[in-house]
Amino acid sequence: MSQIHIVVDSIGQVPDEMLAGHPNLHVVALKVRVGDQEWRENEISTKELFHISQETKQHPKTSQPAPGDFIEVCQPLIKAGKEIIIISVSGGLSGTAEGARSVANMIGGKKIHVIDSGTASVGMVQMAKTALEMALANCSAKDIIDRLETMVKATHTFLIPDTLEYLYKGGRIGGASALFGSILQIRPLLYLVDGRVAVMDKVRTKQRVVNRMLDELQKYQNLEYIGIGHIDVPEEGEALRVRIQEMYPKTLILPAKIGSVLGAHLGPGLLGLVFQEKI
Amino acid sequence: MQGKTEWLTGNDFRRMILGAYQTFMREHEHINSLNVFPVPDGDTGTNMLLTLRAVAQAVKEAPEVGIGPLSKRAADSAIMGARGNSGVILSQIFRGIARGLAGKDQATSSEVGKAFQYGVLYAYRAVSKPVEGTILTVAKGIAKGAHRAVRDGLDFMDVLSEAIKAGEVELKKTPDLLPILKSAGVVDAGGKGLIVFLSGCLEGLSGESSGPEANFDSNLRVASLEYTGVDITHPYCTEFLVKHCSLNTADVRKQLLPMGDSLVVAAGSDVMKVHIHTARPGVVLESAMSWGTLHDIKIDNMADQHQQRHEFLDVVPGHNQVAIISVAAGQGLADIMKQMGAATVIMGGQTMNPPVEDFIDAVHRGNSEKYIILPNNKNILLAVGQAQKLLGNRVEIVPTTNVPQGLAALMAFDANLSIQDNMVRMTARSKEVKAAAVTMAVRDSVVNGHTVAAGKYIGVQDSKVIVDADDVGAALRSMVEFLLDDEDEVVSLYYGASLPKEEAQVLADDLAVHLPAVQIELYLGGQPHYDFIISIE
Repeated sequence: MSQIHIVVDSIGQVPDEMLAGHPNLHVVALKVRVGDQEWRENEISTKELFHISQETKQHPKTSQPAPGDFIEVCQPLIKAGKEIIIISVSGGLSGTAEGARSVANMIGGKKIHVIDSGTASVGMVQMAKTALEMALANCSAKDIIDRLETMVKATHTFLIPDTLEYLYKGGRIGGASALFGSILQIRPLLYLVDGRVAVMDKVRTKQRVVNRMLDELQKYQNLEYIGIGHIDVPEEGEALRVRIQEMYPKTLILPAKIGSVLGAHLGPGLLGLVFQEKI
Repeated sequence: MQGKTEWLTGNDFRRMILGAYQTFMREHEHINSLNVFPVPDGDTGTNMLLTLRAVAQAVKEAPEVGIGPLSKRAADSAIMGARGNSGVILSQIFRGIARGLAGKDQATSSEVGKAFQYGVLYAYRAVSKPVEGTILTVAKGIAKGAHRAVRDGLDFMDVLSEAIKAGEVELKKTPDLLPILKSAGVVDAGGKGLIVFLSGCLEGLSGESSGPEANFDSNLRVASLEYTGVDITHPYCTEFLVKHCSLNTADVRKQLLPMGDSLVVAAGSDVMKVHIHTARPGVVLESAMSWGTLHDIKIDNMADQHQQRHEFLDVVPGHNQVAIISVAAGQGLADIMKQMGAATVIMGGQTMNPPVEDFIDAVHRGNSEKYIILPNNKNILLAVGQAQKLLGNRVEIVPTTNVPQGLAALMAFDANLSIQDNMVRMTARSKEVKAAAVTMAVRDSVVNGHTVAAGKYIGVQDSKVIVDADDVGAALRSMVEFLLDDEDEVVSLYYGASLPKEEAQVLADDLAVHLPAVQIELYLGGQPHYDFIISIE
């Protein structure tokens, strides 16, 4: 058994089978709340969350894991002499990476390493997968971290929100702030730059913004995988998958699952891509 | 403040924490509003409050009596209950304090002062890349203030007062250290939270905590979603010191409470600090003058701060490389263009072509290096061409011949790209939109072989009459149906100055009933002559 353990925050949405199959893999949950009710990310679906939010007319709020949540997972591992790599959601979107680093300072000394994925969802899962494989092959933590950092640089995230309201109210609107509340209904294509939301382009129709996203995607020909995500619009997600599969018949296409915490910042109707260039 | 606090016990610690929690209950929404985003994200106050609630609850119920074990319990509960960045940093402060007080049953003022300094140190260490101008800058100020006060052998309440004072000095500097704060016109929210925390500790310790018993009910008021702005009923933020005050803090509080809100009364050994938001600063000061001498009086109209904040937000970055000059007939269109990033909108259109000098003026008055002009009308192309000849290579033209083209081009504009890249994008995008207009025929004319009488409504595309009808609604519908393809998704209607909004809305709704496959959007254009400008994408 490898001495290196991997901790991923819940924004990654690690599949249950993967978690069950890897004793060295752990998940720490972010939280979402509406008014006085609070849930860990996987205790509530995006659908339920938006329903409750609408019923109570209160916008959902999220919070990073408490340091104690990381400590609960990491402390016993550190005591058992293990080394830990924490893979977090983009630090431009959440304080989770920062929180994890302070936990590393508190209990880990040099035995806890934090990787800011610069992305979310399946992007984090793929990093965790790579890290686990390398750990099994007895690679050193340093080698794994170097590899993950290369992956971070090669990973891109595109977002098409159906509304900017959630990014705006959650304070994560970044470079798209000027678009919110505009007189004309605008459909922006957003992407993450250094982990933060920025505007790639803006058009008037959903069809066109999806086309724009695929045009941008096509600038990258040599891809390791393409993750496709949606929030509660399965038909649109599937239509997007079919188009991308045609464009990239040989590339691994993965679902990019989006949980309630990330969902609370992106809003229903979102389409998104996370993909990584081959290294 | 009666007498010196030689030894601080677990009970004192408990009172500090509960005082801090109560103070936060009052102040958290104010802290939320100190937000650099022009949005009500504002979680800092709520996050710190929820973190403190976890601490206060644990400390209140704790069986421990010694200050050391109690502070350990506070730290543990903070670490488990921390919310958000600010909460995490607060939890580190509690850890530091616990470290400083470890194993002590009670502690001297200097020991507690040092423990608070530990707390600040831990907070600093918690952040991997400390940024000045944040909560950390304030924490450092607090540590310095506390250090000086401990060195001077002050009692603990004075140590806290001095620490708060030093922290406030640093807090005021945060906008100078972080441009994002300055442009939002606020101080750092986390830093402010830290000061509120210490003020609350001080209030709790001096037994001045106001309000009802700390309540841990879950019906906590979480930051409201809408930006509340300034409480205009109490616009004057009034702060002053009272020296040789004849009243104790409880009485001061009692007297001032009816005069405003956000009241904070903190006492040092012979100085009382008062902070209140009030509608009548004169009355507040007049009352205070009967208790002692007044010093460091500061009155700010928060409405100004609020105003300033919003003005700051409106500022368009000054040194653009490329900016847009667009032309519109109608205030509604001009507003839309400005909002979409046009630096200047020159009024003009079909029958009021702006003169060349308007464009030259706009370029000379502006502060960009280069300009892209959107003429948005065939009749204006020449004037714009002339302006370009006179201005040389500072000006490029995307030859848009109607408003929908202009809006489509504008939408593709990205101030971060070069003028060449923008020209390519904007020109391409302007061609992707279909445009038409509906107006009343002013004279008889022949259309497709039959005569259209004056007074009838016509649909016009590229200066050609395409459809005609007896009323505006029918002309609108025929025109849209003529243009519509399977791939089209959005029909935007810009209604003219002659059409009342209600009437335009009825016509748009009617169109939506007939064309369920597309989205019909209605906007005020305010243009003369044309009842509707139609844009189809």
